[in-house]
Amino acid sequence: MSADLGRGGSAPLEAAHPATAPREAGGLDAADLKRSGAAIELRGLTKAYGTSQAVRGVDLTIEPGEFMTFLGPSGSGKTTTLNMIAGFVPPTSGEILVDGRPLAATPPHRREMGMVFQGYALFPHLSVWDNIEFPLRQRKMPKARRRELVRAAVRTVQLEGFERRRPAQLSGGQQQRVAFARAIVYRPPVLLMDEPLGALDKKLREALQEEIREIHRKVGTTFLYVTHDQEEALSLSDRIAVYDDGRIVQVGTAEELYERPRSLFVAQFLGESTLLRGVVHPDDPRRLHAGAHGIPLSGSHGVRGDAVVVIRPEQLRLTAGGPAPGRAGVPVTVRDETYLGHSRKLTVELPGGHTGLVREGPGTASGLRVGDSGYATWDPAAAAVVPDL
Amino acid sequence: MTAISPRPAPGPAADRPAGPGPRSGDAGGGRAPRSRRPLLLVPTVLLVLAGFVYPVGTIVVRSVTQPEFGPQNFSWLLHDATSLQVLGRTLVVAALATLITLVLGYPYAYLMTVSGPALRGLLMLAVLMPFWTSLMVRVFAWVIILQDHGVLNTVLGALGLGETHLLGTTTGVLIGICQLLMPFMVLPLFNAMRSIDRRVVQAGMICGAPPWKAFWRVFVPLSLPGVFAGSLMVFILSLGFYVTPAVLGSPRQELLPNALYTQISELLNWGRGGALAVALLLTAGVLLAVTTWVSKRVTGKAAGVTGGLEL
Ligand SMILES: Nc1ncnc2c1ncn2[C@@H]1O[C@H](COP(=O)(O)OP(=O)(O)OP(=O)(O)O)[C@@H](O)[C@H]1O
Ligand SMILES: [Mg+2]
Repeated sequence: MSADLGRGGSAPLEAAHPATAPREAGGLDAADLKRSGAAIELRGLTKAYGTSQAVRGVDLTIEPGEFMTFLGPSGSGKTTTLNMIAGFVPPTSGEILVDGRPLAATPPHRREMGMVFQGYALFPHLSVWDNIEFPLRQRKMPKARRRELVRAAVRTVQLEGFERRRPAQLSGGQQQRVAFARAIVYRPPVLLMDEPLGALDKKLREALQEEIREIHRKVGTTFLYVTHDQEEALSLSDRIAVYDDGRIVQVGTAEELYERPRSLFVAQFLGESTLLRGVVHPDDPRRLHAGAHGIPLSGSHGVRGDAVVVIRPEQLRLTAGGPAPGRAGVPVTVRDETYLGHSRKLTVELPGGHTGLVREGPGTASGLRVGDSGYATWDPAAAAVVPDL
Repeated sequence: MTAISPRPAPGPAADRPAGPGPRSGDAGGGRAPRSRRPLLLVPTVLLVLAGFVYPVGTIVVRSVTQPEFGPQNFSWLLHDATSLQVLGRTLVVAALATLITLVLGYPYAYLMTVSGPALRGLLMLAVLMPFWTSLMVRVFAWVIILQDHGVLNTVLGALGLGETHLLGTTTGVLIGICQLLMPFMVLPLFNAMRSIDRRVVQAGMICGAPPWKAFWRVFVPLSLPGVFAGSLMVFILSLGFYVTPAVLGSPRQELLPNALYTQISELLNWGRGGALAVALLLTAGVLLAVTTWVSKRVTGKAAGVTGGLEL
């Protein structure tokens, strides 16, 4: 909930309206909502369009109340998976279970899910209020209750004063909030979001990310979030499922994926890194042979044959002399330097002409400048080893 | 026409920088320079003046000047039971044609929007078919189908459903009009429907609306600009049918254009003919204004004027 969202309200959700807090008892109260998250299980979920497979056997268990993000490049099957969960696309094979119950025979309108569509898909002919009220009307709620819930949702997304407008009369960020309010107003146990912030500029996106995280904390609904923005995925999610070509290639927390990628694809898709290619001999798993260099490995990786060592920029240290005992190192020449305020980013040339990336904070400054030669060193335990493609 | 000068207007041309090539704001080097573009309107303006404004003006003038100056033709129209009956019948036929083409055209246009390219092409072909056959062929084809010993009655008889009498009735005329006007209903509907984002309907469903309700509460309201545009076009066009009622209808149940023709061509009564024409013109004008207003209120778009197209 940040201040610059066009409304001027700067305090977090509820704190912004201390005077109205008692009325919350009938509206969005935390205890009522905490019950709400549902567990989702995908079993061998597959979707084929003719001969091409959009989704190829996805298995995934999502905990109740978890914030799960599908991250992957364009066309990797994220939307298709989401549409199968929502019921818009029938799976070719496989199963979807919500709280252990298979969903196959349940049409979308009885799945009790909320959805924020890419591009929002607001009802253009209805006002903001009527858009948000729409799901409640379908549930035949009494009028007073409807009004209460819509008010609470409008307040949650800070859209007071915009209730009578049509979607076309709102900014992109405001439309996004309406879509969000419409999706959460009936407190669904599952909330699906397909790149809800994709169309917004960076600043607004970050502010709304904060807001989404806040709402997730508050409502306890299971969130299923699709994005191809890795930073967004890293900052929002409890866990991330990385998609590639219709498959989930790795699932884990942001730290796990960043620090322990299991494939080159995941390593490259999430964050920047320095890659060192070589061969691991089956009888010597603690060493990567890269040309003339032998690079020590931590040994717990299980990769044999063509392999890549992945080192994150903040794990690399530049030194004038060779690596300290227990650290791995390669000789480098500094080629470029970018000053980032709190840190410096250095591009270095590795043996064989490849480039590496080093991030130096205030405590780790080496003093090396562009053109200087030295060593890049790291702790082998902090580097990931993945099979080469 | 002297207002439009044949030579380039000196003002804007003098403003131009001397540099080579078109200005960045001027799209495409092959187009006429901006200052001369109004000239492109000349043929159209001449055609509208000569082919529409002049004759319509003449008829309007004659309706109040022949045989002498005064409102006598209009008071005839308002007191002549037959003429009022013809006017009423014409309006009823137009309203029915609008309703029938809407009821038939709506699902048809919807099918076009949801079907694949091959089926859509086929459906488009079928709806445009009336445009590709001559009016006379089409009307006489209906004669063959509708006449008492025609195709329709043969089929009905074979099915043991008894016979009908359609040729020479208003129903027969209505059938012919509906067929011809179908494209004018289907095309604006199709145009409006295919601009509806399918995800909006899906949003309705995930919000808890069963498919029929999502359709009714979301899709139908969003298709209203097409409904207005198509209905307006069909209604106004069906006020002007002459050949179809002449061939498929009967002189005892004539429609206004036929009565108009009789007045002018056979009775040489330009005054009364003019009054009938003015009545037709007024009906169309009032309808256009009302529909545009309603459409603007309901959908925010002036469907009537633009034919449902985004300008
Ligand atoms: N209706 C369809 N018919 C045929 N192929 C389809 C259909 N829908 C999706 N696909 C294909 O399935 C694959 C996965 O599409 P999907 O929309 O799930 O990708 P995505 O991961 O959401 O990508 P993006 O990030 O670009 O939204 C793509 O190759 C796409 O072309
Ligand atoms: Mg997508």
